[in-house]
Amino acid sequence: MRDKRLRKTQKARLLGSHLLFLGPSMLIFLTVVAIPFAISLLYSFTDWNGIANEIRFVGLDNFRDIFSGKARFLDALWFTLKMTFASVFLINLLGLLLAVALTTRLPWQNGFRAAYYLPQTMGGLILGFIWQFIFVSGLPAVGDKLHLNWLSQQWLGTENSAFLALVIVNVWQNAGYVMVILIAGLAGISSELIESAKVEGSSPLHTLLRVKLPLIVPFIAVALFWTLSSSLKMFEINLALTKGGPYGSTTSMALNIYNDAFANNKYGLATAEGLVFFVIILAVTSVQMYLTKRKEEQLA
Amino acid sequence: MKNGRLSKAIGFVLVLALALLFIAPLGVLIMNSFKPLNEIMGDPLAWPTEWKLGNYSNAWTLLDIPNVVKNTAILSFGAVALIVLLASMTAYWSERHPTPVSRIFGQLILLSILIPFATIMLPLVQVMRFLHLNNTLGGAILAYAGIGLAFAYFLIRSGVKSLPYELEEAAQIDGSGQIRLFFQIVLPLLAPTLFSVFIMDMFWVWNDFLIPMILLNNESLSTIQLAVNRLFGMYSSRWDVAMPALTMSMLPIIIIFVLLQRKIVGGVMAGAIKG
Repeated sequence: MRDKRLRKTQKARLLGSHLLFLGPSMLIFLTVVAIPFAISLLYSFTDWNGIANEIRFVGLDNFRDIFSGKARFLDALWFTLKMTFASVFLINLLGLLLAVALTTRLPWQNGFRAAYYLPQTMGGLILGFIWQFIFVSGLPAVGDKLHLNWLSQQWLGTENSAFLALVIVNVWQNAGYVMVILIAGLAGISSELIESAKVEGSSPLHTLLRVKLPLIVPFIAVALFWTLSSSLKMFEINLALTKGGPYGSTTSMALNIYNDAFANNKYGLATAEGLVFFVIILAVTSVQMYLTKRKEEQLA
Repeated sequence: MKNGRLSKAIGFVLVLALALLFIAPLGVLIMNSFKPLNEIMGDPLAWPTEWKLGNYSNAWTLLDIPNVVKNTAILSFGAVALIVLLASMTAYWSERHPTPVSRIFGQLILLSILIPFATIMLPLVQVMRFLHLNNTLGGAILAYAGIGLAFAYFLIRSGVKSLPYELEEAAQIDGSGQIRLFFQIVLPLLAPTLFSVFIMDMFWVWNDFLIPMILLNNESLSTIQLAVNRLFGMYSSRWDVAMPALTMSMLPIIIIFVLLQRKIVGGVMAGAIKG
């Protein structure tokens, strides 16, 4: 009898601890993430403008507008995919080169690491504004001094150069982060392994490609996942640097949703676009994780 | 051997040149922030003829620096403290006392890493308005806590996994309560992981624009990012106002980064290893 009561109070106490440890985060997660996500599911089937009291259900109209090209979403998607592809490739390539160079015991190693990481510590909005000046006044001035016409062009004025400008800023901001992740990976490789590769006559390039890279695949996976998702979600740099121009040609998915919601008052359409955006990110990053996982298993 | 030294020297020069190129935009910004507008537009690459602080005092008042720094600091420290506390409680408890509920909750948290903020931002404003938390720093802190939970939980969970269970067991036999056990034994052991999370989230919140943009419409609650954005809207080609504003908004971050750069880069690295 006493035993039973004891077990009962123990059980109640455990339940209390469950609530104490998980309750607050569950409550906040529900309020901030889960419920808004559910509401956006609902709104995506309406034509609400964000202000009116009347909300009309329009079925799949918003999604039809998205995929038929009536809304500007497909243009934004195509731009974002191109920009992401170029950025992810260049960010990871430069990050890898820097990581390799800065694990060879160069002088001032820590200073260099800090310099390359520095842009990562600043906000995209501020960086976008700084680079606006560089592209509008700074680079043309350098071009005039060195008589390089291609530097003096209106960087933000044509579609191709504005695209290039966004990729440059994206690479500049994020290469340092990839560098730090890959340095962490490279530092974990045992020096004996590298020594024995050297003794067997393997060239530095060969050692890098055949010995080091396979060992840091898990780190490359982290870097890829992170650069992919952050490029797909690009917003602040886009807003501050090109505002989506010229002629809307550099509007990222996030900026497009922002415009539809707050400038065009198409709240219903914007939530539908937000959902499609989520599914695209889910799909792209899942494919990437599947591929890198398979690579890891092949090498294991 | 000689060959090796030569290639090392070439590598050093390349790394140095690229590093200079990397920090050049910031150098150009700071240099121009001291010049009057006609000098900035005349030759952005020339040194100022006179180093004057007039631009700075002007931008200081226009941005209302003391107020926006205060708001940004409250927001950042509040949000990051809450994220670290909630994420470590959640990660610790669901790792040590797994139940179906905590398992599903953990999966949902991890899935939420992939939700772009644009997907939930509109309804989030409505939920906050419904709770009368819009236009309050507290509401924005809660928003950061919910959204930041995922990444912090992900890192701290692997930290908990690597903790020696014996220490907790010994404390439990001593009759320590769960809360004391958590705060006195578990949290100190997790300190290195918590430091990584703290650093990365601190940079995130300090630099974030969109959440304050949609949740803090009251000018007196402006963060640094909001104030800079508003300034650009009003003085779009007044670079003599904009440049000192941008420089001042970067300054706290740069100072902290330069002072703690080894620890910060180390913390981010440790985070990558956990991930």
